[in-house]
Amino acid sequence: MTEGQAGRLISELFEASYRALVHYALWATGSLEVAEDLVQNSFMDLYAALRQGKRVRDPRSWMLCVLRRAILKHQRAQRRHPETVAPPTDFDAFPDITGGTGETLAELDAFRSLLSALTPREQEVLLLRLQPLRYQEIARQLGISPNSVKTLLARALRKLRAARRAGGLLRVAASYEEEDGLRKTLQ
Amino acid sequence: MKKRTAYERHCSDEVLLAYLDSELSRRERAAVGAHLDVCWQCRVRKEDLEEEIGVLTKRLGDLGLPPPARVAEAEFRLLQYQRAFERNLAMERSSAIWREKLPVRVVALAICLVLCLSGVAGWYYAREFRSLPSRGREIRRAIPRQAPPAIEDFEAAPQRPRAVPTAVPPAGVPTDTELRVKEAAALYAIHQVRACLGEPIEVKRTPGGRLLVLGIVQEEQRKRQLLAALSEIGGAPWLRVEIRTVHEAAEEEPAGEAPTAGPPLVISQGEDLYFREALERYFADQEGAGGPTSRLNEFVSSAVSFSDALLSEGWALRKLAEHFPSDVLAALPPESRRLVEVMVRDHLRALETRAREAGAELGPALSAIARDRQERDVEWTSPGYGSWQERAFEIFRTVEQVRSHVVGLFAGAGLPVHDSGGMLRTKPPELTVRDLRSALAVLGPLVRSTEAGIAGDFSAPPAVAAQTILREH
Repeated sequence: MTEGQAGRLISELFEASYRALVHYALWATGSLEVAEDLVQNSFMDLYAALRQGKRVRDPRSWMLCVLRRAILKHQRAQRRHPETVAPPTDFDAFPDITGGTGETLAELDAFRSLLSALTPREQEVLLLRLQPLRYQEIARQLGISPNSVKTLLARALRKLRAARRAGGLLRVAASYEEEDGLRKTLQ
Repeated sequence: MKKRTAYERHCSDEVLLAYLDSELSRRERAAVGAHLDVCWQCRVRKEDLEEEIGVLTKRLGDLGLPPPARVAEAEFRLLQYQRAFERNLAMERSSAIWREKLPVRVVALAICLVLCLSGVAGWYYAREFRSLPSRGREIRRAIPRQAPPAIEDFEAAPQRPRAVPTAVPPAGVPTDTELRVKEAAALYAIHQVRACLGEPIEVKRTPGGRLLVLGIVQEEQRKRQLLAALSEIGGAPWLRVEIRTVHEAAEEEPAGEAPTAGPPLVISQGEDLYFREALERYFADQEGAGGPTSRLNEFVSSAVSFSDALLSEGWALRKLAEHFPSDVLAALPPESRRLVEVMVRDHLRALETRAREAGAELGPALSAIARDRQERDVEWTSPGYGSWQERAFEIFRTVEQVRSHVVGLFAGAGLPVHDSGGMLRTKPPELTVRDLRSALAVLGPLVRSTEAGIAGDFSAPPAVAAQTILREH
C-alpha cells in the first residue's frame, strides 16, 4: 500500500472511530491518558503494518485486536506494578485531561455508574457495539459466538432500562417528596 | 426460526435488537417487520430498545471525552509519526538497496541450488568410492606386480606362479631385463639408419609389459629401410613394430613435424635481419665466390642448418639419457650396455664435429658483429664430471640455446626471451649474439670432456654404477 493510500485510510478511520476507541480503552484502563496513548499507538501500528505490506484484510478489526492486546498487556503490568502505572483515580489531579470542566467529570462518573449495573462482559460487548462493530466482529474479537453477542447485548440493554426506570421512579418519588415538603412548608 | 416467522409469535429482545442492528437475514427481517406491523407489544419493546440505545449513545457523546483539542493533538501526533516512519523507511531502503536487489527468494533459491549440487557431487563421489574395490580388482588382474604378461597371452598362461618372483616366466612374457635389452637393440637399429635424429619414431615400454616401436616416416622407401633394420633385432610376441608413412597416417592423425624434415623456417632475407650492415661489411672484406649478399644468404642458411643438426644430435642424446638412466643401465647385460655406449659415442662424435664446424663457419662472422662491443671471450671451466646422462641434458640445453639464438637472429623467428630482474623480456640482439658465441664456445669443450669421461660410465661394473647413483643423490 502506498503512502497516500495508507494515510487516507488512517485518517478516515481516525475520523470515524477515534473517540469511540478511546472510550472503549478508557472503560478498560480507567485512565484517559493511557487510553489515548494506547489508541494512538494502535493507529501507528496499523499504519506501519499497511506500509510494510502486511496483509490487513479489515483494518478496523485489525487495529481493535491490537488495541485489545495492548490493553490486556497494560492491565497485566498494572496488576504486577500497581504503583508505576496506576491509573489516575483522582481526576481532579489532572484537570487538563478533560478540558478542565467539572461537568465532564461528573458526566463520566455518571456514565461509569450507569455501566456498573452490568457485568464486565456485557459492558465490553456494549462498548464494542457502540464503536460501532457488527455482531460478527464483536464475536471474533471476544472469541464468542454471534448469538452470545446478541444475548449479551439484549441483556445489557434490558438491565440499563430497568436501572433507568428505577432511577426515574426514584426521581419521581423524590420530586413527590419535594412537592410534599413544599406543600407542607406552604401550609 | 420457524416460530419467529409466524406472525402470532412475539419477538424476543435479541431478535428485536438484531432487527434494529440490521443483523437479520432478509427473510427473517421481513418476518419480524410483518410481525411488528400487527403487534403493538413488540413495537413498544422495540421502541424501548431504541430509546435505550439512543440514551446510551447520547450520554457517551455528552461525555465530551476526549476533548476536541486533544483529538486534534492526537491526529497531529499520528501525522508526525507517519512522516517519521516514511523517513525511516526511505533511509532503510537506501541503505539496504542490495537486499531489494537480491530478494530473499532468490538467495534461498541459490542456497538450495548449491546444496543440491553439492549433494549430487557427494553422491557421485560416494559412488566412485564404492566402486573403487571392484576397479582395484580389475586393475590388479590386468597388471600383475611381477613379470607382467602380454595381454593376449594372459589366458594362455593363467597358472603362472605369481607368488615366486624368481620363477622363470613362460615364453612370451618378458622380464624387465629382456624388455630393456630389446629396447636397446631397437634403439640401436633405429640409430643405425639414423632415424634417431628427430624423426618421429618412438620406442616405448607399456605398463602391460610390451615394447612398442611407433613411427611415422615421410616415404615408403624409408619405411622399408626402417622395417628391415628393425627385423634384425628379432621378433617377440610382446614386441610390436608399427611404422607408417605419412600417407597412411594422414587419415588418422597429422604427421608430427620432424625437426630436420625440410626447411621449416623461412630464412629471413628482408630488413628484419639483425646486424645486416655489419655482416655485409664483413662479407665485403672477405674474398669468395659470389657477391657479398649471396654469401651473406649462404651464411645465414648454413647457420640455421648447423643449429638444426646440432639440435637433432643433442635431442637424440637426450632421448638415450632418458631411456637409460644409471640404474637401468647398470642392470643391462654387457652387450646391451655396449650398444648404448656405441650410440652415445656416435652422437657425441657427431656433436663434436658439428660444433667444430659450426665454430669455424659462424665464429668469424659472429666475432665481426661483436667486434665493436669489446666482448670478452667466454672462459669455460669444466664442472666436475657427473654421469653422462647429466652431461647429455646439459649438452641438449646448450644446443637448444644455440638453435633458438640462431633462428632468432638469422631466421626471423623472434629473439628468445630471458629473465631480466624477474621480468621476462626479449633479449636484445647484442646480448643474443654474445650468448650464442658463448654457447658455441662452451659446446666443444663440454662434448669433448663428456666423451673423455664416458668410458668410466660404461666399463664400470654394476657395483660401481650403484655407487655412482648414490653419489648422484
